[in-house]
Amino acid sequence: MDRAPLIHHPFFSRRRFLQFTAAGAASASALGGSLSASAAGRVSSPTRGGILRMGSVGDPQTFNGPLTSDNNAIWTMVLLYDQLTRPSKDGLSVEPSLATSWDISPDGKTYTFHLRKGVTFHDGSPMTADDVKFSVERAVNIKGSQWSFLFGAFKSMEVVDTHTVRAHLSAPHAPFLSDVALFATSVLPKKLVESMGDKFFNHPIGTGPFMFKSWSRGSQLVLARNPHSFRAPMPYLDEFHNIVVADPNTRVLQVQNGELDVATFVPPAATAGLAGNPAVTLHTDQFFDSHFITIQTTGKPYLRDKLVRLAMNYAIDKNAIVKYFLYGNGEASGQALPKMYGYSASIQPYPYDLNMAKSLLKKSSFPNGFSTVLLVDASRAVPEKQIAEYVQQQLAKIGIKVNIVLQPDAVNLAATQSPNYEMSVGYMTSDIIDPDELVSFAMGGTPGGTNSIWTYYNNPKVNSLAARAAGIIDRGQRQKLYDQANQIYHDDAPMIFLYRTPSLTLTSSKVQGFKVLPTGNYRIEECYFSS
Amino acid sequence: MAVFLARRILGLIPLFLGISLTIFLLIHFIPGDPAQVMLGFRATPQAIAQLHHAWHLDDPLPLQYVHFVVRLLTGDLGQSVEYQQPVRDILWSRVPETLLLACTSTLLSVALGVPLAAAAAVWRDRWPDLGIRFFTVLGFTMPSFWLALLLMLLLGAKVRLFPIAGYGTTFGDHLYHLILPSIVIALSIFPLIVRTLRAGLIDVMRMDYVKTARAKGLRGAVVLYKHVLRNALIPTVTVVGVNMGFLLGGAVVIESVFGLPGVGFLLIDAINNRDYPMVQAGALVLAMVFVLVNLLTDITYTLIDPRIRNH
Repeated sequence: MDRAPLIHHPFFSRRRFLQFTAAGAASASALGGSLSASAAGRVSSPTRGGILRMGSVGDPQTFNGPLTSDNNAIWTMVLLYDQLTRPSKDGLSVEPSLATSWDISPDGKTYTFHLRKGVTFHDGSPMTADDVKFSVERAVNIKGSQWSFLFGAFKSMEVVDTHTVRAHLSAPHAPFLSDVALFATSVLPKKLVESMGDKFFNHPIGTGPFMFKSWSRGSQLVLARNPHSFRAPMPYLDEFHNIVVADPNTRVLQVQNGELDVATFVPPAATAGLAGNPAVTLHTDQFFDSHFITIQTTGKPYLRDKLVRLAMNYAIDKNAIVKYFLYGNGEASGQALPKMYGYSASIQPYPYDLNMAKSLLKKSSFPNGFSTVLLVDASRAVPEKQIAEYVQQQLAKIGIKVNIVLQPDAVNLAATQSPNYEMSVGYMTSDIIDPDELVSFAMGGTPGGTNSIWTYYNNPKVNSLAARAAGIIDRGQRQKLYDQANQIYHDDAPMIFLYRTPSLTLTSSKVQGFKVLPTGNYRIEECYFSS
Repeated sequence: MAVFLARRILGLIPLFLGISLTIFLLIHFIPGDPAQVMLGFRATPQAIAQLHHAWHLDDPLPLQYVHFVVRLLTGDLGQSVEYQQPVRDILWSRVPETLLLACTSTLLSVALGVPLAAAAAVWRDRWPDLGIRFFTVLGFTMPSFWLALLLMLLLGAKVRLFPIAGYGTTFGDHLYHLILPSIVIALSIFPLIVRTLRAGLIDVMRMDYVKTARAKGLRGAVVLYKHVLRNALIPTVTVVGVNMGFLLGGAVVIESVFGLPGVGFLLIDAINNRDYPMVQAGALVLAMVFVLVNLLTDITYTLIDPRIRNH
């Protein structure tokens, strides 16, 4: 059984790698009041009507934002609800949503948001500053919130008037504008949530382009057009159906058969057979993900040796992995971050060079090789297992014996997230447009965190670069600091860097305006059927 | 009959306590933690501790078990950690499909199995028998996953006779969507029915009273139905009952391949995610269902064979 990360996974939806934050920096300058409403590459003017049937990996777990990190839940919540800001379509900045503009105080500790006028909830009641304050504070403070860690600098939100709110921070925090784009801070109707409690989420009400119509759990979620959406004339569709079809091959078959209009997470192996079928369109969209093998750099002596880690990086042909296991759907990687703001374009992947790998190993403290253990999540999609075997094969060529241990999801996590493992196949994704979170989690060794995604890498230089960058608003300056941090991290190689993949989605060719954003979600309000 | 039922039901209480305790201990002692599963790479020690506290997982283990049992007595199956919803509601929503699929596949397997077994027994060791036995072996050995995909491709994609996947919206729609899945399941169950029934029929057909019936001049079909079948049915009823019990626990592979909202897939998912409340309550409910089906099977015996009634 596979557990899908955000990529090709058949059976389960992976909720983890979700963060819904937008690029902090340029925000101040990227104000403009315009909604980005155009569907890219439109060939005909949008026709109204129709029902879009999407096959997805799983059912949304809940619509109670702060309590979940389930992808399916998140990506449907952003259709039902709106937030103060939202990530732009290219994922490089944040754009206005329920807030049309904002002012940041010179000391960076006060953000004043001007709310859009005339916005109503699905039940017709007006959206006001009270609802915003309630929703944001709830996301941070509710018991069991999985997202409060993003709001460490947030103190409170103040209602200035019916269409103005003010957020007070304890210290300047560049990612804040992206934090309020987080799905968990979606604006809910205060009165209803307070009076109905959990029952509200059985029939949620928001301001989003789609309204909740019906939900047959485990089977099908039906959303209907919100005729009063402030994004009018969108949505064009009458209804959106999110249908649970766990098996990816089934989903793909159903699009080809006309039973579905969209199938998400198409397995790379299926892409070959789809070319040349005019009735369907394969979408390859930029996605913020990064795949690697984490190395416990403070554990076994052979893994503590940097030369060994570098040798392993040179011994793997990442381009071959992309070509043969991903069927060309991906690119080789040389850094931890996905290709997002904060990513350093100048850093190249380690080239495939067996001779270099052998000579590095000879110079290391383990010239005769050693034996090690590689953990792989057995419930993941087939490419990861095949890639592990390929890695085993390649490392054998330089004298390193790799024992692969396949374990189910939960067991693998428990093993990896402890100091006792050696190497583990992993990945991370970002719905974040701001690099701060991934940088501090995966590269900065702050104690009490994830120990640099369990590589136990703790370089004070990198930690301080990351901390400084979080407090600076200027995008260019932040990028320079991240470039330095990324280079150090690349050179220290606490991971074997592998690859990045795009989102692969199959749609019927009649569907227009569909795109998976780099944050993994899709703006169904921009979709329509060609006539 | 009443005493029989009462004794059976009382005997269930220690059984259920034992099952619930075993499941509880098993799920808690295997490695893996629901908070960790949910948080993934964001699983900082602080976040994990916070979630444990919110879900009452930091209470001492015996206390957690006691809470679980006490809640059960009031009909509260707990709150799913993954769905943040009452377990009862989620389980209940999956019951209709599971029940419908279990019924349709069982009926289909019986409808297939009984006549084939009869034909095989009557024409024993001749071509029909050999052909039927060949097909039973085929049905038994073909992996259901593969068979499902094959049927999906042939009858769903190539020739658009049936929908490929999903469950549909109206009752009629549901039945239409369950045709392919039922065929796949029936093809894996009917071989066992055929084999046990055929063997039973052959045994009974050798009996003296059957020879007497034929000597009396009764037609073959009448002999088969009135005298032979009923006597041979008991082991077959056991097979059908046991299979039905398993099916009511959900057909995990079929549910995931055909995209059906069933109990099986839900529970496997819960185990993988260490959704403790769901696993504990779900496993117990399944055990109860299985026991109930066994009870019904026993009652069916007494209907078929009056001699058993007076035990």
